[in-house]
Amino acid sequence: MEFEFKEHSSEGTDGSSEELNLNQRFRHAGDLTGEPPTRVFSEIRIKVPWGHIAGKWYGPQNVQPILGMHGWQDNAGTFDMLVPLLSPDVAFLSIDLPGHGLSSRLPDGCYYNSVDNLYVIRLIMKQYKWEKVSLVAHSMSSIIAFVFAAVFPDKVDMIVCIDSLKPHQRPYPAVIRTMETRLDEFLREDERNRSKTEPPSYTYDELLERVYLATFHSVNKDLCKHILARNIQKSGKYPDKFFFCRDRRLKFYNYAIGSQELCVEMAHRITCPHLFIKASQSTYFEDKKNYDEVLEVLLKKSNFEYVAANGTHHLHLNNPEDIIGPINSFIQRFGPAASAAARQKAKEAAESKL
Amino acid sequence: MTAVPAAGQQIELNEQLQQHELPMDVRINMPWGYVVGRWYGNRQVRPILALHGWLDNLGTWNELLPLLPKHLGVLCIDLPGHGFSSKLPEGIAYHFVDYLCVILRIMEEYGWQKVSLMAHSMSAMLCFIFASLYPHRLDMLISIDIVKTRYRKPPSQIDYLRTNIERYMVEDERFANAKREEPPAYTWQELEYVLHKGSAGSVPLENCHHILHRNVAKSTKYPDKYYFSRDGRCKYYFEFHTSPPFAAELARTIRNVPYCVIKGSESNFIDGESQEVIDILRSNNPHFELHEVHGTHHVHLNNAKGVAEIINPFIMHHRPPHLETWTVDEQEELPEVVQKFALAVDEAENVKRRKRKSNL
Repeated sequence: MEFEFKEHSSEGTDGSSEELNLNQRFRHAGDLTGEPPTRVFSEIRIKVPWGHIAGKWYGPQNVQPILGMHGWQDNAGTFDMLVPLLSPDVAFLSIDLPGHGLSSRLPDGCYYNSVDNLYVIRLIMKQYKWEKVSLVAHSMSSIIAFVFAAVFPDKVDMIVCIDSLKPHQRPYPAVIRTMETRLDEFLREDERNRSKTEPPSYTYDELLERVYLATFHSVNKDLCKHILARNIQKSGKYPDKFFFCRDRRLKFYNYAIGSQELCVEMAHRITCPHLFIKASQSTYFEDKKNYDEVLEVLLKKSNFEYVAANGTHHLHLNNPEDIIGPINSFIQRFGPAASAAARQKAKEAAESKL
Repeated sequence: MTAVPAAGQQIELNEQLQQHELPMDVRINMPWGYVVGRWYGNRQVRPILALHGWLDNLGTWNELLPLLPKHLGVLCIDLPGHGFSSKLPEGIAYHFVDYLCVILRIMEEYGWQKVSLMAHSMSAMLCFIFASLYPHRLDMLISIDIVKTRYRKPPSQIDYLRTNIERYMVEDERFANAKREEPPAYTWQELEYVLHKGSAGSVPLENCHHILHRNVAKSTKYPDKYYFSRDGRCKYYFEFHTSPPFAAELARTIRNVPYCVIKGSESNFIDGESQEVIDILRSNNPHFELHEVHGTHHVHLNNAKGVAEIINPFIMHHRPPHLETWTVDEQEELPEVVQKFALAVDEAENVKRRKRKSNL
């Protein structure tokens, strides 16, 4: 099985000074275990002002890919089990969000805000010169996709949201207490980032166990390696051990997007085709009536599809075969290829009228 | 009068301050650069930390400073991206959390367990959040023309998100290019007009120089022109908008913090929307005061005397001068043995001194 390491940027060189050291960092589970990747991909880097965004490009390289975005503290490996089931003519670019996986972390002292991910999507669109973007997103990114579709309805072809419908609303006293502790902990973690000592390291099996616990058993034990690989680095001190190298400041993400009424308004504003997949064994993460209120608005739209599927929060990793049908159908009808064809058709129709 | 940029006015201010020390320029390191400030007045005690408004800088306090009580110093800072402070790195947007972290980092730098804040406009909104999150770390808050964080109706807030992001991207490119090409330059008069108009008339033309002085730099291309050296991306700062119930919840936690609000009579920033929070503060917080003073949004700049009349008693009450000497007589009149008095323990060498480090 061939997989290439290729630089991808519309400007030619990405200017990034650190080369990927395959002895230290891992692009997929196979780099650790010796297995082939679940599907052939190209490792790419997209230049951003503070460094680069890393990603895995699957499928044809001459068509606009679907942008795949992972959940909080995961990485591009989250779609490892889903991508082999995609249609072969569909291109899929699974990225590492800033601070995760192989992407650059934000500069020292800078805070991670979820609204910045809207800006990251726009940056990627700008680099590849995409007029519109198609998103497949999980968890925290699924929320971002919802917000993106509401804020930039003219820049989206379609969104597929896995298991998080809308920005979660928590009771205000809890929000205030969380904000209070988060700022202090962020400052401490920011300082630790600058210390030269290596964080605690673990053996491969210990790491798997930790990931399994950290996701609250949401990921099947034998599949943990897929979201582990890009988030770890080989220890310099202990030859058989690894440590987590995703930016620990991510633990204090600033989720502030707005209130419930803002979520409802956002639901109204979405005009693009929107597929939402709800996992049966996953919670709502907030008061169910908030979720119901927004779902009610969405269900009224002709291009909204709701799929209830069996599985945990990471069902796209554990049992992708249960959801691939609706996803493939959706991509075929509304993805970049379909959207480009529709634009071409409209152009021809306009020209024939002249 | 408008032909001469700030240097002349700065000398005038220094003359007024000549009774005590001239201001000390300070620089507080931040991970991405530094924040600069000016410490006016008494440097023996913890000063009031003064924060300026959106797109202004520490010059905004020039008119008010000479009128404040002499026992407390005032540390005025330029927020990141404004005045002479560093700008945030390329590709990083300005969020309210960044400014909150600046306050926390300054507290850590000077080892303050508590902070006294005086803030205008955007910073006052920040300090409202700060007061709500850390009421135990705040011993005084003076807000100029703001009571609480603002609310935007959902359609407006979505549009705000969009324009902020799109315009930030444009401005970020300009920021990246600024190293190669100087931004557009204007004459001093043009700049004053731009600032006056940009503040919707809140800063009158004759006071513009206070703010312009630190926000512009001399053009290298045109001998008599200046360009804006403050970060253009600050215009697209991500404000923390709160829904009315959330603002009310924030207000409920500000119970024992001395909180003085000055409203400018001609300004609409404090309107009916703030009433709920004002009522909550009035009922929960015995140290809450709200006063109206004649002036625009920049009332501390246009009517410094009116503002000082209100806040000086407030400051004297909540941060009274400490008794620093055993006698009120002038030093020269005391007998020599008293003048030379010093505690033996201060000079002893075997006394262990522990520097209190703030535990942030």
